[in-house]
Amino acid sequence: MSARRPAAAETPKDPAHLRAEFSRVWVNPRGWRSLSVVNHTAIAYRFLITGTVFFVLAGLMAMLMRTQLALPQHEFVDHKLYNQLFTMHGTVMMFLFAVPMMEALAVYLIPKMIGARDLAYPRLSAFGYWCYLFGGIIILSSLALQMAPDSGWFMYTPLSNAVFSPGRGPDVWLLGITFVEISAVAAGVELIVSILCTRAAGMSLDKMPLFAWYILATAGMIIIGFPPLILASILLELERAANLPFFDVVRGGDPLLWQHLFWLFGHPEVYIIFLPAAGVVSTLVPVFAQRPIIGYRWAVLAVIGTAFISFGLWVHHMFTVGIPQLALAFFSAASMMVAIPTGIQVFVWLATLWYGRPRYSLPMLWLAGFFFIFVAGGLTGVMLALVPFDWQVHDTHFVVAHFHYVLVGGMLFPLIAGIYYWLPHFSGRMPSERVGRWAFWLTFLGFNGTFLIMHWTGLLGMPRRIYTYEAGLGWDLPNLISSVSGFVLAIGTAMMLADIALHFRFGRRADPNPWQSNGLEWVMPLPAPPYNFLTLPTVDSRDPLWSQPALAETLQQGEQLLPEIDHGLRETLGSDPVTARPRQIVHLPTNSWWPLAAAAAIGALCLALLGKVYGMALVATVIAAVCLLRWSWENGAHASSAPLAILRSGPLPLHSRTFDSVGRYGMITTLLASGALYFSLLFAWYYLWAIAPEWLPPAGAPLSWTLSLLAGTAATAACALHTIANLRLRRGVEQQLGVLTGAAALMGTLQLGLMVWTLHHAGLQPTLSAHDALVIVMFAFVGFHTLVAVLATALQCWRVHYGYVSLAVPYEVPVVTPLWSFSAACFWLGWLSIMIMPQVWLG
Amino acid sequence: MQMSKMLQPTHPLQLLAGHTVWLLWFCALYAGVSLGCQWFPPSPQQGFWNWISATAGLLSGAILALLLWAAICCWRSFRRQAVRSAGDAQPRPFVAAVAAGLYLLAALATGLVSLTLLLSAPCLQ
Ligand code: HEM
Ligand SMILES: [Cu+2]
Repeated sequence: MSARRPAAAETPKDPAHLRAEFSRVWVNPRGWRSLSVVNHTAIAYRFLITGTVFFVLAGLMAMLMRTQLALPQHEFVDHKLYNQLFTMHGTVMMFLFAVPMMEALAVYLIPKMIGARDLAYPRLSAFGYWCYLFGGIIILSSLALQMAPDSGWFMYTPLSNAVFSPGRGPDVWLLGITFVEISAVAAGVELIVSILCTRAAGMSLDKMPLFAWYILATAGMIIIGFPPLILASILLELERAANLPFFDVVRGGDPLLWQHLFWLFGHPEVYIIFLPAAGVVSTLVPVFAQRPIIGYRWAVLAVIGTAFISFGLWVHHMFTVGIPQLALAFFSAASMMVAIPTGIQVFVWLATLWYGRPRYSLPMLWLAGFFFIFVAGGLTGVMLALVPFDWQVHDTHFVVAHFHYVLVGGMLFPLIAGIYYWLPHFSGRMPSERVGRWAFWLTFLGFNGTFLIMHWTGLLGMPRRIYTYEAGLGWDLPNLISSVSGFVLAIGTAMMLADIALHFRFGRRADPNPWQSNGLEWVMPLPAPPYNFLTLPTVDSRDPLWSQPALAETLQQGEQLLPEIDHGLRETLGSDPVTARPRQIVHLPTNSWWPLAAAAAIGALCLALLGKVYGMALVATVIAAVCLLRWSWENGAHASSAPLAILRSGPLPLHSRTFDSVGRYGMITTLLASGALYFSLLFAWYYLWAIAPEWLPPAGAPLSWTLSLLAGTAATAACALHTIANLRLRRGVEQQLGVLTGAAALMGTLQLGLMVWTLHHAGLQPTLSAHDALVIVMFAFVGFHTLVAVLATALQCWRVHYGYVSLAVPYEVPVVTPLWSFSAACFWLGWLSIMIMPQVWLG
Repeated sequence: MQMSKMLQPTHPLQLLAGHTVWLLWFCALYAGVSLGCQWFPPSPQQGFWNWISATAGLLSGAILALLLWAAICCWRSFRRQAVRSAGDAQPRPFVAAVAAGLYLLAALATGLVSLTLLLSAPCLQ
């Protein structure tokens, strides 16, 4: 074991003293200073509570809609409001409730389950929360201001373009959602890196809690799946605000491009929502079956398989738009394929229950509801995947029924089961079995009453998104039943929420590990302290609490890993991604105002763009950039971080003293997201080129060969300079580090200048041709990444001067190098697509 | 050196490789058939004996074979290591076993989707 334990000579510290010291270092300040908190437990609470508020609001919208539809030709809300309601209901539920809630649960649980004291980037968690909160407020306030988006949660163009939706609604949606998306992607990056790099000693890949596998897969899907929507939103907003015609057929665009990009995101999205919930199920089932899970390997296989296959299904949302039959068949077959891994999971759960001794406590009841509803929803999914059937019921209430079965059954029920299960964690108290059961049955019956009937309503031909209907079409009775049941469902949900709220006061005190669970999150005192573990555990099985009953005791006695706290730094263990052998100490930053300030500035940017006050937008951008850069400055050997004066005993280095830090993993993961965005952009380029009927390529090369090649050379040179700096440092050569990084920054600046010159010289007409508009967007993408690299590298050069970056503290250099490679690679890929491919292809 | 490590059946990237290949193949199939139909559509009378279906079929067969071969390699590696260490309760054999299953799943997906090539002539709207 190479991890540091207190040396034998050292007298073991008094555990009570240790606890006091840890509380001092990890304290979350109160009052207005609590806005600077970064601890994952605190941030996750905020996420969960905010998400619940959004859930209630979106639920109220649903009740308004059900009231309107209860009777034929009812005049409760008019069509304008109705359109806003269904758009906002879907948008809020999907983007502000389902995804953030699941991420919040992961933000709360992952460190506790993998034996870490916090996530790898605590300040990023806080930043994500603020982006989410501000974005959510912007989106919801549009409803109060009566300018809410009203073209559906998938914002199809042309309905959502400036001609058919001249109001501000779509702008609110596009900008607000993109803002919220930052939060989702940030949490995704952070969860991946935390799971890969900060697991407890001994928790090798084969011993990871299944929940961590599910979250790893989900976070990976977010990283790849959200960028297509971010790109689509940027393009549509550019079309609306600056008249760039990406989706306008007459000027060489194509509205179907929106649908492709949206569903390229949209289908993975539904699994992004379902997989974490399935992770909750996989966590609870063994506990309530009182035996280890059966088929751990199968479950891991199913999770990874689902995550990938769900990226090959997007066209099943477009079966009716006129796509060649054979292509339809591909997507139909692939859609049915995804049922296989999902089925494997269901059998893993059933087998575990079958061979266990199930206890039907409250969480298990909600799981039973999940099984019933979700399986039914999966079956209607397979029905919809059959093209001829889909042609009949597409855009009817049948589809509405399908997705509520899978979403409510597949996400809400497991979420509630999970919340009940982990309640003692939040409050130190147990839920009430009696009220909880009533709430369950009302919710369950109300749900089925609302949505089972809706299958028939749909088969009878009632389209979705209509605000009223004639009497006598056979839709009256089913709609009335749906509406009445909808209210039963609402009462059940309200009761569940009330039960949870009241338990904080009236719940029975929880014993330690009240459900006799297997996972590390139950070794800590309840409610959980901010540092989770006084000392960090070593794990030797998948069910550590079952195999090491004395674990809680030894951790609390301060007998395990990383008990030092005198230096006043927040720390957790960094371990090998595969074997989880300890290899470094990850120093975690403490409370800070920068995340809040940066998010507020981006929120202001969002508002400025909405109001089309571009001067203010510029100011907000600069402020945001300054905040983010200053945030990055207080890092590594900076005095407020881990200055060189802090000397460490023991064999494990601080991560900032190594080349392979969590920062590097974070950069690479972030670049994956950026890469997915660029890939979507290239997809748009080739798609329009091949499909758009009025695509207008110029006769010759659109850009100057000389200028563009010079820009590319500069890009390559900048990348080479930084790579050399990195390689030299790795070989132990510290000299010229400042010169090399400075030169890289200058070369990058030159590249930016040349790129601007190239564009200027080309005289493109972006408002007249989608071709020219896309060229500009590609340049903007590469330019943006180069600019970030230039700023980061210029700062790095400066930091060398201050001694924050050196051979002793090298880790920031290999963090930035991949950014240069990425930006150069994107430049050349874009150049190839713009300059070479059209020539080669068209001869 | 890095590269050869990644190709080992016990490297965690194996868990991602099979379905990445599947996804690339799937997108290539969709794009290729769509573009082929736009540029050089074969006559519908030819049924599935035409250049598009033939090319797509050959490509699919090759991918299928590749995935199955990878599945076998991983499975063998798992068996070898499982004999040496006790079962799969070690990270390396665990990765090999799951990777074998994933390659197999990807192969299944390839096989199933490519069967649809037999359903109809490629360019019917
Ligand atoms: C066996 C697996 C599944 C299959 C084959 C499947 C298939 C489909 C198909 C073909 C549609 C399009 C229907 C249409 O618009 O005409 C659809 C819609 C939808 N599905 Fe599924 N589905 C499956 C599982 C899921 C899961 C697990 C979720 C979420 C947790 C989900 C959420 C949705 C949503 C939200 C829509 C509607 C999107 C919209 O049009 O607004 N599906 N599904
Ligand atoms: Cu779908």
